[in-house]
Amino acid sequence: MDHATHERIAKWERRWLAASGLMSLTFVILIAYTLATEGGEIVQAAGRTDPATLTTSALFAQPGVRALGPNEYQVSLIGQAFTWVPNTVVVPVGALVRFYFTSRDVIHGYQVERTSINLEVIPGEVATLHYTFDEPGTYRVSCNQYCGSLHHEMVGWVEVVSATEFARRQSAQAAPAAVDGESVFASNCASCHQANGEGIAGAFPPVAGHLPDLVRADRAYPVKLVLNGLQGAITVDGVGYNGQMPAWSHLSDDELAAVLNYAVTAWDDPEALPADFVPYTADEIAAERQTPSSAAEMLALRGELELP
Amino acid sequence: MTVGTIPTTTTVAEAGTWRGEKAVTAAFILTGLGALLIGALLGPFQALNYGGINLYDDVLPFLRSYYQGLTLHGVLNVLVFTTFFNAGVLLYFPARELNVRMNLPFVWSSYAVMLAGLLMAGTAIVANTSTVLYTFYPPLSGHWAFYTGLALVVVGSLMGAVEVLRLRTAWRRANPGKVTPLVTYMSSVTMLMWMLATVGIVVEVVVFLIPWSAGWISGVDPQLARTLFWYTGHPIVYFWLLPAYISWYAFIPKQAGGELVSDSLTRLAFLMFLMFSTPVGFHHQFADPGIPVAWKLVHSLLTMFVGIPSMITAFTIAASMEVGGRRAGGTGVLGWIRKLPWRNPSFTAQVLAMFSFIFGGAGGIINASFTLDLLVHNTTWIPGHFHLTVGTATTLTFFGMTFWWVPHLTKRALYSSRLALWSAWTWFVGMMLFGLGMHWQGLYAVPRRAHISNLPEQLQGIYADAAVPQFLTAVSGIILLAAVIMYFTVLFGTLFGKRLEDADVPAIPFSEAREIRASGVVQMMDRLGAWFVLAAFLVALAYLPTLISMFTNQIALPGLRLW
Repeated sequence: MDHATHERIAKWERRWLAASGLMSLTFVILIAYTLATEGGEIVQAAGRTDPATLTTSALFAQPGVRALGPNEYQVSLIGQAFTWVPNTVVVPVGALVRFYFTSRDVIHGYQVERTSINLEVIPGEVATLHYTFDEPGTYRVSCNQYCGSLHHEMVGWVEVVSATEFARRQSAQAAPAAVDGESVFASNCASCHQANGEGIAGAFPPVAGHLPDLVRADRAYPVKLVLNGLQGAITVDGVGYNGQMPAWSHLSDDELAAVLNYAVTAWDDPEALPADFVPYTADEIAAERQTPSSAAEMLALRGELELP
Repeated sequence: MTVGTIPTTTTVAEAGTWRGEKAVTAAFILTGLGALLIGALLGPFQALNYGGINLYDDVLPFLRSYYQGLTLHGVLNVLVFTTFFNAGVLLYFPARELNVRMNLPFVWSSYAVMLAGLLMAGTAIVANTSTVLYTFYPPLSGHWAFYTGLALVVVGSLMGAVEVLRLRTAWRRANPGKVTPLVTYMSSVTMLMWMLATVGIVVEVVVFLIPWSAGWISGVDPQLARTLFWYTGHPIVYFWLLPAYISWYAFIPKQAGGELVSDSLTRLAFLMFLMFSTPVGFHHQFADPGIPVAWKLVHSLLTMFVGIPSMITAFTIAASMEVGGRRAGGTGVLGWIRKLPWRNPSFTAQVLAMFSFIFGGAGGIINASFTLDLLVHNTTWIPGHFHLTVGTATTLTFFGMTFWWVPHLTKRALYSSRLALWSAWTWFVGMMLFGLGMHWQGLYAVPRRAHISNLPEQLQGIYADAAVPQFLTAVSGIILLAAVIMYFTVLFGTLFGKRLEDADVPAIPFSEAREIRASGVVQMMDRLGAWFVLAAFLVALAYLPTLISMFTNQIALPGLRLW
């Protein structure tokens, strides 16, 4: 290579480097600018919380939407395998919505399509961000962090409705409709335990063939189980499981009684139940709700049951 | 003022020498390519999944789930293939450049440690005990053998790092006052970066995950573990990339008939990677609640500086090739491009790899931009991005290297130069299409690593707005399957093919390098110990405040198995 060529390359090299530096600097300025002007949508920590204590947490014991002031709402959301609680969030258009998230089991991801709401929902962390939906409509929410074998089915919704529609729905909610145990099971339990109640061997234990045994051993145990959840290694019909049964205390007493009554007879011979079995009642659930147990205490309790 | 720092080897001397080094190097790169073969054969099924076609349950009945296959794909391709292949690159070329023999028993033991790790982790995944994907975020809990296996792969590769630094030291003792030759310099800096970078994952796996999965400790804090993972998780991408850069800097100018236009700028680029590739990991965690926004911003800004050495590389390599094209008679602004050796599969594969990296790099800048990342975080955009970087820039470069390197190591003739060329183009076209489809789907918020072709009835059609890019992704899967078959036909055809005459064994295409900066600067850059300390200091500054507060305030959670 001759000297002149060499010098020419060196000259262009200096220009290229200057241009690269300038480009990086431009990006830095743009990032800082957008952060300063749209900072509210960036996820931040709002404290920490042990997933085992969610049933007694101020934010997460009763997750859902509540009004904070005129045109301002709080939405508290729990991620758990493989659903969001609540799975559908309804908010009015144009309102300031303050989201709070945590997870009951493993890491999930909450992304609302067509928005910048996109965060890791990490057990132990309480995440917050605020957002205002300017367009009414139904927004798809996908779990975008791998959380187990049915991760792809963990899909929720945000419904953004007009203020009048929002008010109408709230008053409709106040008058409870009749509860159907089968539909409660289908929308809350079937993703893990499957619609036929047989579960997935090694991952999610069966309800069919197993629940009557639990009822025979201790009638109150299934009630405690749905209210408090269970965590740790268990064995059912010789197959080991080490997952987690979430707590379902956010469901109403009526819903929990209905789903238990559905599940004890849906797949099993009524003969499998104790001869004096009477259906669960909402009052029974309400009474049990007064004395919450930790997931770990539940595991100990299960160990004491006399199972076949 | 050409400096002949790089020795040229003659083919006659080549054939019978360096037997031990060639054998161990061949073991490293062929084991890596074997892992890639299995991992890459699963890839098309993932691409078809993102085209809405579920062949997992029908064609791959030995796998329990999509996620088990995805775990195999990720672990084998980005953790095993790269680490093994890199060990071959980073050990062999310095030894040859310096003319210093390897400590062969030590290098073979590093290979044995890595192989033992691969077998342990592989068995754990195949047995469906560790379907936790290659990021293995707790509290999803795999088998202890999975974590131990991965740890052994890292330990083995760090033994390789020790050996590379020993080669350099041995040479410097024999050549006092001289500057480290270029390929050894690049390899040493890469290994120093790797030593600094692995601290995070070693602490995560050895202090937390192994004792936790074995039942010795009851819990792990998920946010802390994620942070330790991404401490290593970003620089690891440079560990994948830099061996490809070594081939681009050291061999491509020669293969193009030119010379490396700047020795000192090459060193500067690598030194910048040592400084800036680690204190940037929070840019993978913009969506994590547990990291203060101010520190995320610091990491975002530092990431912008890692773009600069890649811009340097783009200039230097392009200029070095242009020198070759003009020597071959090319004229005009772009006329030299036609004169480049496009019929040489080794050259063409690597230039296509560079071209893909333009898009990979630009996407990387977007991902690292704090506010833009929120639109694409954990969508298919992300795998779209890293299939252009590690999946094409690195992998296609490695393919290109093997077209001369495997014949060099094994004394076997390249099976078919034409098929090799076809495999490179097909891989390139397939991956560019895959990249387009996946980036595009990401803009519709289609989640990454999700078995979306197997949705229950009530969720059918929820991603229908992304139908066009989904179609492109499915097509790319078929093209890539063809590319995999072609490439491995060439590889196996070479390994079991015709023996080469001694005189025909290809030599290592070390390029001549040109000095632009004053030698004082180069000598200052050669003080690697001091630069390493400075880099470690920068990492401590960027990480310690956050890590200390995480370590002192842990919520330890038990492991769960949800598959």
